[in-house]
Amino acid sequence: MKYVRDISSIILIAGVMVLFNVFVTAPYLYDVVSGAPSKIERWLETYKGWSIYLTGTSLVSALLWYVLSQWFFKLNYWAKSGKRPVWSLLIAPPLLVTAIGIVLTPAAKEGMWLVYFFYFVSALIPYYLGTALFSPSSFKYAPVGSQLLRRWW
Amino acid sequence: MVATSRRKMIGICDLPTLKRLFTFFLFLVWGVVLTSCSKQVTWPPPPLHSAEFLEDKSIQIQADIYYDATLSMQGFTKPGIATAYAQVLNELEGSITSGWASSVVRFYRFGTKIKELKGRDHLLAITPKFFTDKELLQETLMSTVIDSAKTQHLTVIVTDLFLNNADVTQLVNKLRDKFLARGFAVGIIGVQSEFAGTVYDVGINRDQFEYAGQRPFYVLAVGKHRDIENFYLTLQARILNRLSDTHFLLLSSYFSSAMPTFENGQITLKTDIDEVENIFPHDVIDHRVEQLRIKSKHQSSQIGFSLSRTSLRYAMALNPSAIETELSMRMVGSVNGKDSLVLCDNAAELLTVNGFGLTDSSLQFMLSFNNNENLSEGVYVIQQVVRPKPHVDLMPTWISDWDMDITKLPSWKADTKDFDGQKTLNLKKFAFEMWQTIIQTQSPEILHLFYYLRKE
Repeated sequence: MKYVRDISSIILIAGVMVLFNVFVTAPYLYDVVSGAPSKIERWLETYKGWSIYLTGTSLVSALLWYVLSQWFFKLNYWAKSGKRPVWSLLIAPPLLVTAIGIVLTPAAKEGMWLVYFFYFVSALIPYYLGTALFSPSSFKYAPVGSQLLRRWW
Repeated sequence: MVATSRRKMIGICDLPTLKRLFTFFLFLVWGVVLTSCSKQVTWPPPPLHSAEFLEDKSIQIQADIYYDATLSMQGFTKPGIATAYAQVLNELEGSITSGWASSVVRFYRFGTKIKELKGRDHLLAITPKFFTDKELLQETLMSTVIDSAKTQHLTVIVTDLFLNNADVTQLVNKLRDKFLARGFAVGIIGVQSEFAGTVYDVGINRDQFEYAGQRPFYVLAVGKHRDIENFYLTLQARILNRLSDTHFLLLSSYFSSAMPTFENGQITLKTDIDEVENIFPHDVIDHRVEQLRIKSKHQSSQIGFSLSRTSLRYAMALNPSAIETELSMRMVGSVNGKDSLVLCDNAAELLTVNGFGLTDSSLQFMLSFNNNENLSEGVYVIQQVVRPKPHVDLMPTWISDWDMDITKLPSWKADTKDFDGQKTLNLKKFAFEMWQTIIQTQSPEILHLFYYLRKE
């Protein structure tokens, strides 16, 4: 039942990311962003919405990776399994939604680079931390950098 | 040593450490939640203002119709009963009874004094013999009509409105004291009608001129704005729209069917200023108020608005040069431990309104905040009231066109055929003084808005 713990942890990371965006980055952006085309609070609702979509997409990618690597990929030795390209490919959906979010978020005059940065963080962190920390043992080193993160785990 | 530090670095991913990490993270989020929920100064919406509401027409009406029975009116009846005068008079009662579900109409004739008309006697007002009562025909004392008029009724006066300067002053003063100071309106319906008779009281020596041709008579209506408007619309549907030369002016303190607000407005320009919605207490909505935020780093800020309005069709036509803006600014401060508003003396140098545009359907202006560094951090309540300027002639052109140029009197006396009977003595003076009286007594407002500003 290890996979229950892993999947729960992946979901937990995404949940923390959502909370982080709603309660940390959004209030921070209220102070930083200026010149939004609508009321700041309404604009922040758009921001929160997109950051939730991005985190959600990232979560779906991470879970998909987990399901594939737990139940579908066959493996004898991880370094020869050739699954890192699959892992890399699964990062594309969150990045694609990030690009859409950047285009569809009404631009404010000040603070937009920070908004884009938070979008990338929202899209990448849940996927990266979820897969790097909680991939099934057979593929735990497929995510880039996970050899450092999971050397003893 | 190196191995230990590397182990420390890498070891963050063992399970107990992860648990600690999540616990820390949750505490961090909780701390931020508490911080972000910290209390900011809020301020409730301003109280409602009575001038913001145009009262609906009365459900039931009591109308008093007064006929001018002096000799100068007799000329309207001599050309026959097919004149505009006769047609309009025949429809007055019907305009009241069909304009309201429930109505009571009383008729009077007036001149030197007032007499009530019994039964169907008012139907004689279109015949010459109506003007033969010697007790009445000497002078047109319209001020006595105002004395006897009741403020709860719609008062309708049929007259040639031929007033000398003293009559104008007396009549306007009577109207001011009894009606205008209490928020009532006055409607002037002007109708050109066939005339054949004597025009009396022309000029300071009260000269008389025999005249045949078109001459205006007026139906004055005094009462509530919507009642007068309804009376006119009914009369227009019954007869006025079939007559060739009629006009209507409604002198009132209302200019649009509802006071413009930000509800259907648009922001046309926004420079270094943000719209926010957290100065009101939670879930409070008031479209008269725009909530704004200015940051300390911005030296000056501007915001432009285009608000929709529906101008009242017969009200005074306004233009940007005929209006003025009053701005006042108060800061939310603590007085004796309670939040209250403290007047800012330097509002004039901090705030300006310009770029006024005014049409029947929209109103545009720009609010500029100058020298933001002189604005200390906090919440401000800014009130903007736009009013018509006093002493500005906004009269419609027909008032001027129908106004008698008394300077031509010597030439008329030299040749009576030149007498300009199509005009009315002191029409413009009467209408203008009425308008000025409304400005003085009712302080009419075109716009009454608020800005709640948070300076951060």
